[in-house]
Order: sequence, then structure tokens, then C-alpha cells
Amino acid sequence: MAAVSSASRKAFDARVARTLGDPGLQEVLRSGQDYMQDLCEAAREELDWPAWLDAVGEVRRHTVAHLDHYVEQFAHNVEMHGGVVFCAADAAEAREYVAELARRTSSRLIVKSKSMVSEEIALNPALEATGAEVVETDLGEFIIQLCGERPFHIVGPAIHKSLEQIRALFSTLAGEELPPDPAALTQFARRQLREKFLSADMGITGANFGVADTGTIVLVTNEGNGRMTTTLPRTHVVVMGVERLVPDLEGLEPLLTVLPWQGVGQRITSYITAITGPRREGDADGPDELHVVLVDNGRSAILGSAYQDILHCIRCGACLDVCPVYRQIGGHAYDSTYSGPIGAVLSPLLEGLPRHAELPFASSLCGACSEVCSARIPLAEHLYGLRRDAVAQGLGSTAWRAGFDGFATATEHPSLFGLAERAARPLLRLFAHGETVRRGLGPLAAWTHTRDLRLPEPRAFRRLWRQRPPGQGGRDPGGERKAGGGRDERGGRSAP
Amino acid sequence: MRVRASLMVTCLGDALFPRVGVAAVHVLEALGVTVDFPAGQTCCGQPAFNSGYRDSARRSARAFLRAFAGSERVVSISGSCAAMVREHYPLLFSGEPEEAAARALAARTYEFSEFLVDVLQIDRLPVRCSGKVTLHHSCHTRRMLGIVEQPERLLGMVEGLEYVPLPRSQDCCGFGGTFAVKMPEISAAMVDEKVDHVLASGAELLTGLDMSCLMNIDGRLRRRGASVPVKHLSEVLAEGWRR
Amino acid sequence: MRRAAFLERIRAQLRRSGDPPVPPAPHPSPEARSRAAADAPVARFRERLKELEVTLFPVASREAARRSVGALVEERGWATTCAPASLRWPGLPGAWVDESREAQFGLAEARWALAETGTVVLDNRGEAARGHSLLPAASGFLVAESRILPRLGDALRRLAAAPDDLPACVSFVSGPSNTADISGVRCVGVHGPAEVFVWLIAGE
Repeated sequence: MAAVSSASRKAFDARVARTLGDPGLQEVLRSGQDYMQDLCEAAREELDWPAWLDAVGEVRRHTVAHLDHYVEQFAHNVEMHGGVVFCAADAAEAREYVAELARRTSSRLIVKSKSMVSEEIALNPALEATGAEVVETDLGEFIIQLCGERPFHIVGPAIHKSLEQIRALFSTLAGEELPPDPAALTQFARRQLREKFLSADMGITGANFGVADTGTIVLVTNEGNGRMTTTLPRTHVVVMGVERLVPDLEGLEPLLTVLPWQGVGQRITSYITAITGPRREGDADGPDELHVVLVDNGRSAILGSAYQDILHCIRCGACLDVCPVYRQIGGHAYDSTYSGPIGAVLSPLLEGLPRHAELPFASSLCGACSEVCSARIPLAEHLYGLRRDAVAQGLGSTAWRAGFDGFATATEHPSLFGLAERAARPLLRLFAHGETVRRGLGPLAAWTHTRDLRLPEPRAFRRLWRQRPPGQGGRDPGGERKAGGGRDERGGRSAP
Repeated sequence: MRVRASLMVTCLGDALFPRVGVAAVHVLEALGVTVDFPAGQTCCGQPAFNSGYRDSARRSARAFLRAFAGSERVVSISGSCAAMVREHYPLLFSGEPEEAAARALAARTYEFSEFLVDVLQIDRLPVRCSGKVTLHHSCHTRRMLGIVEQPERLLGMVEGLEYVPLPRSQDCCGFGGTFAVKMPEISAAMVDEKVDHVLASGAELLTGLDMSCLMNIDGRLRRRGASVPVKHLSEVLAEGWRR
Repeated sequence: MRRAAFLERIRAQLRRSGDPPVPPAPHPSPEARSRAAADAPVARFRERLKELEVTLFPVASREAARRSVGALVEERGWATTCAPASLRWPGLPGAWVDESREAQFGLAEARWALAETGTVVLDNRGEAARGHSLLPAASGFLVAESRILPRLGDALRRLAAAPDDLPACVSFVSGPSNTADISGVRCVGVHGPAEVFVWLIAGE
């Protein structure tokens, strides 16, 4: 099989097996996808969906194509409004900046609103090392923080947790048995986290988008924790990917129109917050300091490559909601911050194929991801490209390479090909029981483990064709020949 | 002037499902098409291309280009192989000496149902087939070629046939070429769900445009002890053709 | 990392040298399928508020709005209401408070409203605190009918037209705070207000 190390492949298989073998997870994945797909149907009825996706693609393509210009403009404008911008080349620089800021501001209690990038750079442990308590406030992130797990889905990190699992988790925290009722558990989380918000020293968020010509940070949320995190603590830190910009406020329109539908199946989220600098003099509330950490961490290396448009992603999660592979294996199988089709492409690009050798191959290339993508990224095409790259980097197995080489030779010589076909039937017959093959070796065994295979007919098509009686023409399938030929069958006519 | 077309039977079709090619020829000829079979054809190179072995894929594809060089039109009994030629040959030969030939072949290659409906513009068929029939829309055929309605329209022309839509027809069957044997557990989970949908549809026959997908679904149906027959659309039309 | 080096890396990867001109930023804004928001924004706004489970009080004047707010505060027994000083009036049951974290109800004035999405757009600047529409469990907005715009793009264009006037925070609020993170069941009032009220003032 194609993997740089069989240990890596075994670990992947083990993660996959855990999800495939868990009926609860299987049910969550299926019903979650069905639910999201139904909701998105409504969007397609209401909006000229293709035009809006084209619009998102256009704005993001323009921005990334001129990213240097917009990053510079964005940083300038954030600073003009009193914010501080730090450009972090990699995860370590980003972590160190935020940790140092936490020390300098004596931030002992830090609240966080959802940020995939902060997960990507492993920020929390670095902050905890300064002695700070770090609390995730997005309900899904709060849940997985309590479990010590990674997100299962980009938009809904805790969708894999059952009501009972969450009830038990919260009950332990509460020190009493809580009822198995989502509303009651939500209210518990509200009370629990409200205390944290009110006494936090620092709030850390991601950014859905940064607006270059105003220096504005845009947050798209439903719960209100993003607003709390950016209003109550003295210091607000934004950790964002360097590519998550738009040129101006008008350019936000297609993104804010499409993202809520694709991400959560809603026309709009409860809150969209546009933050430009820290509080101004005379403002009743808001943070005193705003820091924006722009994270590269491998993104710039993708610029100028055939994969550049992966940076157009707006992290809507729609590709996860339609992927038939994700539907079976869930987010943890990907062993990376980003899962699903976006993860299968982005993670190898950010961290290298050897670290994520299985991901581009964990796909049937069905193309559902490309079809649904908010920004018109040809995700499936990139999977073909990454597979080519994997082979070029020597991550393919010698057995498969030899097999494809041999097959290619046969395809160049039709007579050789024909001979191989003739040899196939008796070979398969060795494994057959009657007309059906139920066992085998190598790839055949992989097939027959779960599927039957019918023995092929005695003669290949090319032999049948050669053995056709001469003088064919207008022959109907019944085997009777019609007299003459010269029938003119074009345009709207029926068969003879 | 008669319509001429070369049959692309595909490596899988040639070796494992010759009756599908035979049926396609019968239907095309009954519709007045002069069919030829360029004997130099073997494999379009899709399996190697999908697995990342582009050099091997190009070798097969070059031979394929040569085989069909003299063809006016090419009709494929596999949507995914037609998609390989149409969508990936230009990419595979980009910057290569064969680029123009690849683009030219792509421009004259069709999938079987697409050829009948869009090129021959058939609106009636003397075909009878009673019973409930459901259709698997293969992913490459649907998404890369945009072929969705054509097979449905053809089924609608069959007398006595009751078309029952397949639930969640947009879901992949799990074949994905070498994916089925490289990641067999995931593939099996996917085909299991597809089989659930086939059985839930109440269909007495499953048809489709790609023998790779149909072989996959058929293999799992049989392993689960189900008896729903599985046939390529060309077989359904040929077998029900009224004399 | 020095910012110059950070930018240079991006520039080099994009094979841009110097500071070549950037074409104008695209502003694609596809037509709406339905003309409802553009042709009858008030009606559309009211429809969307209903879908979002926002309680609507249509009133003929600001004076009527104040009476209606007072009636609600009385009915609910809210002891404390926070709002910007300029929005307050004498005679409200209970007490006006400055600190939103102590209030049971918060009142704010909308800069604009968006018909297509049922959104209230708030300028958070000066005494118009962010907390007024965030911390209390119940949140209310005074919306003048004349300030209803068809859709989000209209508000963005207006904000873009006056960049020097952009406050530190603009909030777009559409319904109550909610989540479906616990087994996919929708629950309101997670961190933000659970109840939202709108007084829609005609003739303003």
C-alpha cells in the first residue's frame, strides 16, 4: 500500500477502524450530513447560488493573488486605529508572541473564542506554561477541551459527543448530576463561562475575515462568546491565517452571504461583529489593547504553486458535510487540525506529505467537495495533484509502481494485453467457487473480503468483435438482419 | 450520411464485461450508427492517473490516442473513462507533443447515454422492460461530465418500466478505482450504505453508466445475499429491444 | 520576524517585485431572487423577525415606543435596564443602570436594520456600549422604519462610504444567541441574550 511507513498507515487504519466500528459515531455523522445537506437546499432555492459562489471565489482569488499588498494595507490600518500587528513566520513565533503578551499584561485568566489557527499552532499549552488558565468558550470547543480531544468537525467540534457524554462531563464539572436536557446543559455552560468572561484578563479569538482597507476584524458567530471575548477582557488578541483577508467592506458581502448557509445552514448568524482597533477614547466598553497575530506557518509556501487557490478557503466546512469518506470516518481519522477534504489537501501542503501521506489517498475522488466549495476551489483536482506529488516524492510503494509500469507496457501492446486477458480468467478461476470469486491474494483479497466478484465471460470483447460475421450494418439486437442499409437516422427520429 | 462512431469499450469492459460492449453495439447499430472498434485500444490510463503515476498513465494514454486517431466520434460505455479523456487528457498532455491530439480526442468523445440523447437526439425507443428500475449516477459521470438527465430520459422511453429514484443518489458508491482495494474498509462502509439505498428503493433492477461502480455495488449486493440484478444501461436497452 | 521579511516572502512566492499596481478590488453583488426586501422592506423585515423568534412591537411614534417598553418592563418585573444615557427617559419602571452586567434588560438604538435577514445594525461607540445588547438576558432595539435597508451589502456600502467614521465596533444582531452544539438540538441564550425585542417605529 502507498505510505512512507507502514506504521503511519497502521495508525491511520486504527483511527478509521475506531470510527467505523462505533455505531453512535456512524449515526451522528450520517444524520449530521443529511441535516446540513437539507438546510443548504433552502439556500439554493433562495439565492442564485452559482453566482454567489462565483462571487466568493472572485473576491478571494483577487485578494490572494495580491496578498502582499493587502497584508501590508491591513497591518497599516489596524495600527492606524490603535491596534498592534505581529507577523509570525511560524507556529513557534506566534505562540511566543502571545505567551509573552500574556506575561507582560499579567493575564492569568484567558478566554478563547473559536480559532482553528490557534489549534494549528498549539497555542493553549504555551499559554498554560505561563501559568494562565485558558478557557475555551465556544460550546463545542469547551466540550472538547474538557475531554482533551481534537475537533471532530471544523464548524461543530463536538458533534461526535452524545447527550449522555456531555451530561456526564458537565455533571463532573458541576459536582452534581445534571439532567439529560440540552437546554439545561446549555444554561449550565452559560453560567459556568459567564464567570470566566467577567473576570478574564485576555480574550483570544480567530478572525473569519480581515478587511484590508479599514483594518477591520470580522467575526461570524451564533453564541455570543465572540462578542463577550472581544468586549470584556482588557486585552484582545486575534490569531489569524495571513490569507484570511478581503480588500474592503464591500468585498465582504458574498462571503457573509454564503458562509452562514454553508457553515450552519442559516441565512445569517446571530452575530456578525466588525472590530476596528481597540476601544476609542470615550467608548463605554471594549478592550484597551488589540493585537493581531498574522500567521504564515507554511501558507506562503503554497503561494505561486498550483495549489494557491487552497488559500481561498473560508473555512465554511461544507466540504466535510458532503464528503462520503468523511461521512464514514469522521474528523479524528485525519489526525490534523483540519479534516475532511480541506484537511486532506491543506494539511499535507502545510506540514508536508510524509506527515500526512494517507490523506490524499483517503478519497474516492467523487468530486462532491469541488461541487460544494464556497470559493470554487477544485479540491478533488488537488487530490490528484497530491497523489502525483506523493509518488514523485517516493512515498508510493514499489509494488504498485511495478504493477502500473507492467500494466502500462501491456496497454502499449494490444496483443500482449489480449494475452493477459486470456490468462486472467483461469487465474481468477483458482479462487472461484462456481461462477463467483470470494477470496484471493493482494488487491483481490482486499476486494473479496467484503464483495463478491463474478468470473468474467470466456471471451473478451475484442475477441468477440474479431469473430463477428462480416458485412454488418443496421443489425438489430434480435440478431435478425434488416435488408439493406443507408438508413438516415438523425434528429428527433425514433429507432427503426 | 450515416453517423459513424468508434466504440470505447474500456479495459474493464473488454476484460470483465464484454456483454456490455456487445449490447452497446447492438443498440447503436439499431439506431443507425455505423460502429467500429479500433483494436489498438486497451486502457485510457485512468487507474494509473488516479493513483499518481502520471508517467505510466501517459504511456497508456499515448497508445489510446493512437488507437482513436482516425475516429470521427468515440462512444464510451464508461462515464468515468470518457471523463478521463475529456477532463484529464488535456492536463496529462499539457506541454507535451500530443497536446493537440489529446484536446481533439477530448472534443469528440462521448458517454453512451449522452451520445444517444444529445448527439443522436433519440426521443423514442422500441424497448420494453417491465418492473421497477433504479439508476446509479456515477460520480465522475455526474460531476465531471454533467450527465444526469440523459440516462433518466432514456429509461423514461422504455415501455413498462417504472423508474424509482435511488435515495441519496449523489453519494459515491465507494469504488474510486484503486481506492476500493487500497482503503477497502472505508470503501466497504460506503458501498454498504449504497446497497441499503438500492434495497430501500424497492427496485427490481439496478442500472447505471459505469461498470466499475456497478461491479462494486453488485459485488456487495451479492455478498449480502440480495438478488437485485445489476445491468449497464446498454444491456437494459438491448435486452428489451422489440424486434 | 521583521515585517519586511514576512511580506517579502509572500511577494517572492507570488513573483511580484517592487510594488506593481493592483487592479481594483471586485465587488460582486448578485441580484436577489426575490424583490421582497427591495420593494417592501418593512414587510420583509417583519417576516424575518418572526422567523428568528424576535418579538416585534410595531408603534406609531417614539413616544408610543417608550410607553410600550415601559409596559414590557413592568410586565416582566425587570428591576434594572441598561441603555445609553441619551436613550433614557423618566418614568421607566425599575431603574436605569450604567453597568450592563447588572441589568436584566438592555436597550439600544439601531443605526440601520436589514430587511432580508431581520438584522439590527448597531454602532457601538461612546455611550452606546457593546454590553447593552450582549450581557442582559433580554435585549431590545428601537428601529426606525426609515432606517431599514434591503440587505447586508447596502449596510456594508454605507460603512465603506465613510471609512473615517467607522467605530471600534459595529454589531450585526439577528435574533437571540443560539447553539446546536449539544446533540444538534437548538438552544437559545448561550452567552448572549435569550430574548430579543424590536420596537419598529413608523413615521421615523
